[in-house]
Amino acid sequence: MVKYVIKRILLMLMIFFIIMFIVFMLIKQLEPEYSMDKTMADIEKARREAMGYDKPLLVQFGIYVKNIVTKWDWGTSFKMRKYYGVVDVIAERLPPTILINFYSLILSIPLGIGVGIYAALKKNKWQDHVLSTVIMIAISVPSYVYAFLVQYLFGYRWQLLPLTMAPLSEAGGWFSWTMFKSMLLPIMSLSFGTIAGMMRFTRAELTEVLTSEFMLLARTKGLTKAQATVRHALNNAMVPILPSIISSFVGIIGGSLIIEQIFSVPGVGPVYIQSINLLDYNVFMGVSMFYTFIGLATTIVVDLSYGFIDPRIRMGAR
Amino acid sequence: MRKFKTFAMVLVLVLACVLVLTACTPEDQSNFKIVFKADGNTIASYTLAQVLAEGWTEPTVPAKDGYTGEWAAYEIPTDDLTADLVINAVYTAVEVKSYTYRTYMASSPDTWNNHIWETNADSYIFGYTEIGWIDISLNSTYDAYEWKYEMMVENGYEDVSANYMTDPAFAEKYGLTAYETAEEVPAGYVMKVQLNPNACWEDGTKITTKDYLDSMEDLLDPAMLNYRANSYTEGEGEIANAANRFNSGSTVVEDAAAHTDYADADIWLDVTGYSVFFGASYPVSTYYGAYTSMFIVDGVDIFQKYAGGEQTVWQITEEVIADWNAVSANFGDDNPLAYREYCFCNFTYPETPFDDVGIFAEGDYTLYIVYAKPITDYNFKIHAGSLWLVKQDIYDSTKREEGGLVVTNYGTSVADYMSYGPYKLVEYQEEKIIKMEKNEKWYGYTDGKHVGQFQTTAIRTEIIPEQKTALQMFEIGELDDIALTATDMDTYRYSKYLLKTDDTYTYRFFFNTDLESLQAIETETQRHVAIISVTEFRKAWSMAINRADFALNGTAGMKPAFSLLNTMYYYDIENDPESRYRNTDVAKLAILKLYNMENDYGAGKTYATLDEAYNAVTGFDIEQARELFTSAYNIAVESQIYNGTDDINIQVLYSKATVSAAGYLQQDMMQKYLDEATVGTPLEGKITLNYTNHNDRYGAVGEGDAECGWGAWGGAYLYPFRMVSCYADPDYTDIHERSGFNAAVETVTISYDFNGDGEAEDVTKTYQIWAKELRGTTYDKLENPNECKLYVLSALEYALLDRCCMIPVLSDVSVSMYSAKVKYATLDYVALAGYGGIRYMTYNYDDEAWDAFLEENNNNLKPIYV
Repeated sequence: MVKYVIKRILLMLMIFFIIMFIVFMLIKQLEPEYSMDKTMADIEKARREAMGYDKPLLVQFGIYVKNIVTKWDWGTSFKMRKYYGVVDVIAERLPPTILINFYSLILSIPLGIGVGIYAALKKNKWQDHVLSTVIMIAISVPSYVYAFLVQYLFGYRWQLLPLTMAPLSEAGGWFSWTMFKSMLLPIMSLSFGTIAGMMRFTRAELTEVLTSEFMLLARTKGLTKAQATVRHALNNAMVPILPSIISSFVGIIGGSLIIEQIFSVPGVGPVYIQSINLLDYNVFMGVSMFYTFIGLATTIVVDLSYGFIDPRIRMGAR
Repeated sequence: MRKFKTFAMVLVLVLACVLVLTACTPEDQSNFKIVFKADGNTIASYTLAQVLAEGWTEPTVPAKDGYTGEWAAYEIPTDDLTADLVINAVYTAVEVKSYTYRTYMASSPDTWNNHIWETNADSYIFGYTEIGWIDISLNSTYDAYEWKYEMMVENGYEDVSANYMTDPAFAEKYGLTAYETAEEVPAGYVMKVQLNPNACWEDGTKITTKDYLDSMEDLLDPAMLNYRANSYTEGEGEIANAANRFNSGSTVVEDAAAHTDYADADIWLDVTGYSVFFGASYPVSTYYGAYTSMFIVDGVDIFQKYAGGEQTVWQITEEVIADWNAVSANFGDDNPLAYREYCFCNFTYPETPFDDVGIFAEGDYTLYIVYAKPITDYNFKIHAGSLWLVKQDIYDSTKREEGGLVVTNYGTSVADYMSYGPYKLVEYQEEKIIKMEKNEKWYGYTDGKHVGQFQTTAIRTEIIPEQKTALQMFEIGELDDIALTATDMDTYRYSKYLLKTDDTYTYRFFFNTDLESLQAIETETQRHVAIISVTEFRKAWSMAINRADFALNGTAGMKPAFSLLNTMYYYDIENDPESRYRNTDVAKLAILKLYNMENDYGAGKTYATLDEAYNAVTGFDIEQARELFTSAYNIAVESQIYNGTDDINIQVLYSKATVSAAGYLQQDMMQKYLDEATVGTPLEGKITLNYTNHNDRYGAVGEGDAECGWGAWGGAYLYPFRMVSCYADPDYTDIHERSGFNAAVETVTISYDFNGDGEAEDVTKTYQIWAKELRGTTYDKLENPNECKLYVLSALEYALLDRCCMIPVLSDVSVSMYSAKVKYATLDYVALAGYGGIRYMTYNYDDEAWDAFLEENNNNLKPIYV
């Protein structure tokens, strides 16, 4: 198992490095749109030269990697947040993103699984049909549509909740009631899709397990339907569901560009787009590699989680 | 004995009288006093005599924060005081009203360091927290602009050029030429500025000449390469030696033609790139390809001789000079130094210490600025509107080196910045909130010159990227302004809270008209676009656009545009606040001529007056558009650049960002106009427009990599004579339409009495030269330079539009609404001063009253605003 984990981590680092190289080479192909004012354009060119942007790309990449390895220096933002370290730029924007997504998952996972179980147990009955129809609509409609809808209804029409997320100082901290209240609309917007997806997944898995032969055996052994469902069906259905929950939790730092924009959440979502638009190379690289790491790490964690959920699954065994 | 008794009685009587008199006489006034006390402390005490004396004035009640004070009612006895008369101060708590202006912006500034700001968002904060030597704002009647002396004392500048510019040592130090006599010295070389001694930073530290000198040294630091150094290294406000300091020691490759002092040994020939001779717009090879015969001298192909082999850079020899002068002569240029226009040199800026930069001080509050060239009084005032001050200790403490560049974090957080204007920054959360409050240390709140101004006590700016969110907040009373979109206008078109502000920008289609590159695009993309090179096609497109409909239904309130420069351009605002270029007869005539209406006005004609004819211009004539489309089709088919059957799919590069909903609306409307204008023509149903985003649309079209773009030019509204250079002088900017239009080669003939002999003469020059002359001083020696410049400008504008390598469509107008809480000084836009801004903004409700007002209206102000 340890050997397997080490192997996966080394593989992950290799993939990480390859992606870093590709992204670096691609983003550096983009030339900025210089100012129409020739003097300003000349200053910009001189600044780029001073920053080493005129050096061969391989040399630039070497310097970039060297700074990361030797000094953990991911570079400086030269456009978006003038002269802040890339790590600081990302770290500054993470808390609201994490909070909103975390709250959303806390709300949507139990709800999604619960409704999914209910629908599976009521398979092909009217309850199942109603829920499936609602869920189909919820999955089909993009989250920003919910966002505008809940914003209009709860924030504008009924004025029960603030239209935008509260500033940190006015809310009194990230974990204050005011802050939570101001996050409710984006949380709701993010939750609809997750609830629907989780419900559908749970229903599908559980339905399949419920029709398995071992469930029939369990019933013939004398277990009640409830006992058989809780002790055997749910356990087995959770094997594919739990990893998806884990990956959802790891993915919460990814943020949502549109939802954050609609509710003025100062999160990490728009950083990616802004860094491309402004050609802030270091920030773009930093954010790209951050997401790459999250993606790769999630894969490993999810793979490993199978072994914990179902002891029959052994990693790295011959 | 009797005498003794009588004497004793008299004595007793006298004594008794004395006693009685003593008892009856008022107490000695020096013993009892009138005492003024405040909070138990004696403020002043007076004898009755002092108080009764002529000219006595009551002492002032000591000030107490948050209270108003007055003395308790009292009455001064006129005859005597029997005890101390104590008069106490009575304080009443002042009801402090707060007036918060709540606004929003789409994204945070990247910095508010005035040395490196780049975007409008960057300049947002220091627009409130900093103020210039001279500010421009409304006059007392709110109908014109007025200069307001702020960081300098009233009328605190003086032209002292004559005192200094006759001193050769002084002039030499600053790289200038001294004058023989004081009378010869032109005004505006050396300005003496008397700083406002009350100006201070928000921490109370006085702002002195040292701050100005240190800040300028930082701004021009060659290691920092600050963007905004250009305010002082070029243009009207160029400070002597500032450019040399800023570029100290750096070597740049420059055209040798610009360095006439360089010997031939210090310049080199290189004809593989661009050359000044051909206007630096196209590589020499382009001209070689088009005019090969011109490069043949005595049977020798000169271009191939110098560019055909491995060696492409040549030292200057007699042979080189002879060869390239001969080529130049073939192009009609006999200048013996023409060969230098194909050459380059390495120019190294001299190492220049900051001491040699034209700025020095005398004491703490007197500053001298030495300009590289004389500055006019008006330009000095304009330049005095913004300063370069930074708080030195903060600036230095946040400096560090990043990849060969010295950078600073100044102006990126509350702690890393210090205000000195009417407001101070108190809170900043990236992409969320910016809060500013009154800077109580600002001199303006106590100097008596700003009474009734700056009523706003706080400015709360939320970052709201989504306009729909902001609109909802505005409607429920959480914002005091909102920018509207085209769809919002359906609701608010007639609102009394609507504010329409014209801007200088003209939106236009700009084209690549070069057939060769259009055909290359065709080959690469399999889209037929070469027909764009046919002028009739572009003219037909222009005539097909119903600009009035497009502006009304496709935008939030923009205006139709027929010209490059709109009504916002003033050519002489210093002397005539109404000197709008667009309103001059020559400018109107240029547009009438463009639409063949120049003979349509006058007695017995369609329009009685020039104005009437001009106002009738629509730029829309569907019949003419159809004729032109048919004509374009025939030309294209005959010249075999179009097969006559394939669809023409034109890609319009729209913007850097993804095409918005408004963009698609405009695309659809434009498509509709083209569809209608091609009905019944051979091009019916064949033209398709496709708007797409592009990172560098101007570069792509300009370099011939794309066929068409959509974008706006504007700004510099006080300099129309300079602005036209953006379209006509490739040395000034990269011309967007340069693929197919070489302003350095193509010519315009203008008929005007340039020599003042009373007869107009035809003068032919390139677009570029006309543009350069408009920017320069060529016409200043004429009797009426502005008249001549206006004529040339209008002729150039007409020529550019008639080429039709661009189609002006919309004139920018920003449409917004203000809340019922606030009140602008004026709702009529005043050039240079706008609506009075935060300085003159007043309030219908304070914050508390506004909350009550919202409650009364159920937090829904939409019915009020509609």
